[in-house]
Amino acid sequence: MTIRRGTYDATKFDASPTDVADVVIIGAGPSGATYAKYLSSWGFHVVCLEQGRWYSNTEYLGAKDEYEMSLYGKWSKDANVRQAWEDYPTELSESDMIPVMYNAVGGATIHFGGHWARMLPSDFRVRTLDGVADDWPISYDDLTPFYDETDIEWAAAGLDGDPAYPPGAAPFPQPAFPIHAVGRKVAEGMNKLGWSWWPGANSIARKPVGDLVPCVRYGTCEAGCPNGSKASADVVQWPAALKNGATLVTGARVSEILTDERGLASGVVFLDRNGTERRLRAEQVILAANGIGTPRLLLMSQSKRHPNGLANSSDMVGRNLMLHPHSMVVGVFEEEFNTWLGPVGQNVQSYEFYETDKTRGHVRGAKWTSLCIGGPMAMGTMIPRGPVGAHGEDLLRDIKRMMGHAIMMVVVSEDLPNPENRVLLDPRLKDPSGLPAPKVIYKIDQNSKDLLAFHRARQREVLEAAGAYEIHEHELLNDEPGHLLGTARMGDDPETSVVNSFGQAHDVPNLRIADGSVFVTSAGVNPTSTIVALALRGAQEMVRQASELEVPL
Amino acid sequence: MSYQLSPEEMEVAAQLTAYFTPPVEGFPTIEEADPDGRVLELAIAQLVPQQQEQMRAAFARAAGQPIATYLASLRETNPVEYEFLRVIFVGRYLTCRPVWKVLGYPGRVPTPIDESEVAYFLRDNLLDGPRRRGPVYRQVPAEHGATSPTSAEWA
Repeated sequence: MTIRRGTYDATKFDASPTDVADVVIIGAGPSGATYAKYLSSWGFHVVCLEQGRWYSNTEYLGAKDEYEMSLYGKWSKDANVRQAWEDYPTELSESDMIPVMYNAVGGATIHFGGHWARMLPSDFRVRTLDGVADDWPISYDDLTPFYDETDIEWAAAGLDGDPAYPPGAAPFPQPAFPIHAVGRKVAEGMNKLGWSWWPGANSIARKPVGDLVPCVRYGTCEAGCPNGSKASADVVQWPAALKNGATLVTGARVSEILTDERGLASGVVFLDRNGTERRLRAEQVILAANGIGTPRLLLMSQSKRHPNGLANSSDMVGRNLMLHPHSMVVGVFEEEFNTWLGPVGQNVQSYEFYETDKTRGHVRGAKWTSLCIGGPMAMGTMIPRGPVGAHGEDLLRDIKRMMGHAIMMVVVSEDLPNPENRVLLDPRLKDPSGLPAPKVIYKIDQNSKDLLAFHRARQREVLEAAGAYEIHEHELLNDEPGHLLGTARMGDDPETSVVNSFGQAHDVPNLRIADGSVFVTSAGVNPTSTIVALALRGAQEMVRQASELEVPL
Repeated sequence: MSYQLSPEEMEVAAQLTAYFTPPVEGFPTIEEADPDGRVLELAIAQLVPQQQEQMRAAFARAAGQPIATYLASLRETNPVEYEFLRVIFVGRYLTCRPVWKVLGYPGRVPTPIDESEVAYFLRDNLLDGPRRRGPVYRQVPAEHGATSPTSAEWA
């Protein structure tokens, strides 16, 4: 029996143990989907194993009254709150932040805000320019054509000509969003100070494209788009991959990557929701399970030949976890701005303080973004109050005063790699299938604290210049942003990195890593655009190698 | 299946409602905002099963105690549980449309983009500022393999 094409639940998986897929992909998020779509277009039979399920637009609550309440329960960003079968718990007693993730077809793009930002040239040369961390083995120019291509696929909407970026990028395929009154107010403040800003870029449809319809500004992007306007991998990549003949198996929790006597990847073991264990052989394995799930699975795939976990001869698997600590500054104005008007995608972005200036006392910088706030429950969180919030008259008076009058600016800080910030296997905590949960050890370092404080102070200046009569600083948004990076980093040296610049594991040439784990440094921008550009680059290289038979097939 | 409050839990819920959402001048009372308790049911339905069990246990601990004293103590001894209860009851109130009306919040309604909005919000040459500011990215040494134009070249 051959492996059936199409998409179905793991309980219906009926391939025989002797069937061999050309490629098995673990994880149906944006990086796995990028590989699936590209490889299937070249005739590879791709089988993707995803522990989550499909969602339809009708399940997203953005247009419902209960939407904000659902963010504290069913649609919480925290898997430890949701506790669905497809989630796995994360041990966080030694972590300053909650690693936001989502397990579903589409992965984290189900709940991302659609902020679509490229990294900058200096991001690839951090060691050379600033003497910290490491340079990437590739440059901005190496990635530019892949950014251009994925911009089209992801319906990137923006205004060409941002002087914060080098020229040479292809035009945005979709027109920019209006910056709204909120963005205009921020821009006015920036202009008074002579600082750089530009209308923000978002992977959200402005015009009908593919299966996407134009955004109608619910402002609920971070819990699925009920209108089908936000570009998520389940919408913009998987339909094409399935049409190409890919297989997507949902409800499939991979417990181990198997290796053969040569140490090469030979397939995977996975469990369905009933606990039935299945095996799938494959010529190539692509791991796309995010910056927590990927090192977890590598560490779970120990063998005699790989005693420290798969692809871990460097001891870098799980290390250098970067989570992008975010700060927020909120200004309250006399004017009314309709601050609930979406998308949650950014209206204005700024790179004014992105680059290192050592007179500031820290290295690297941050991107700024301003975006819509949402409804009354969100507004109720805009004044920092410590571990518990307010209620009664205090709260209602604040919400009424601020509703429609508050603007928030967010700091997307660069988070430097630290080998002690890492993902391990917890010896006690297990997921619903009895597999070890990841333990996250993550401490925000002094450079990040200084950086965030500097940027909050500058954002305060912007809001003051714009006319805010009241300003509140939030030092850390510990449940934002879900950027899980660096835990299987790329590099040219197998002794200090896990994969090469194409995501190919140094130790296991037919194993590739596709997600944000491969980042050498985090940059100070939202990473999804870079994750899919890197995945496309890796997929193209894989096809090239296959044509030259450089790896066993 | 939605969570059904027992009569005992209903009593605790009423006390928690009174504590977390007391009458405030200019705002609808909870009885006006959610007269039949439908929004409370909706709020509880958004919790995952484990949270509903957590809520049941929290209600049981609060039952029979003077609620204000109990919550004042809980706030100090178990702020996580206090916050959990606060979110349910404050969240329920802030989910009520009569409250939205007082706040001036229209709710999440589809608002298609009019093409004229892009230019409207950038009117009066707003973009002249960043254009004058020019490039802010840093030069990358070419010897390290990058060929990106420098800020000076861009200008």
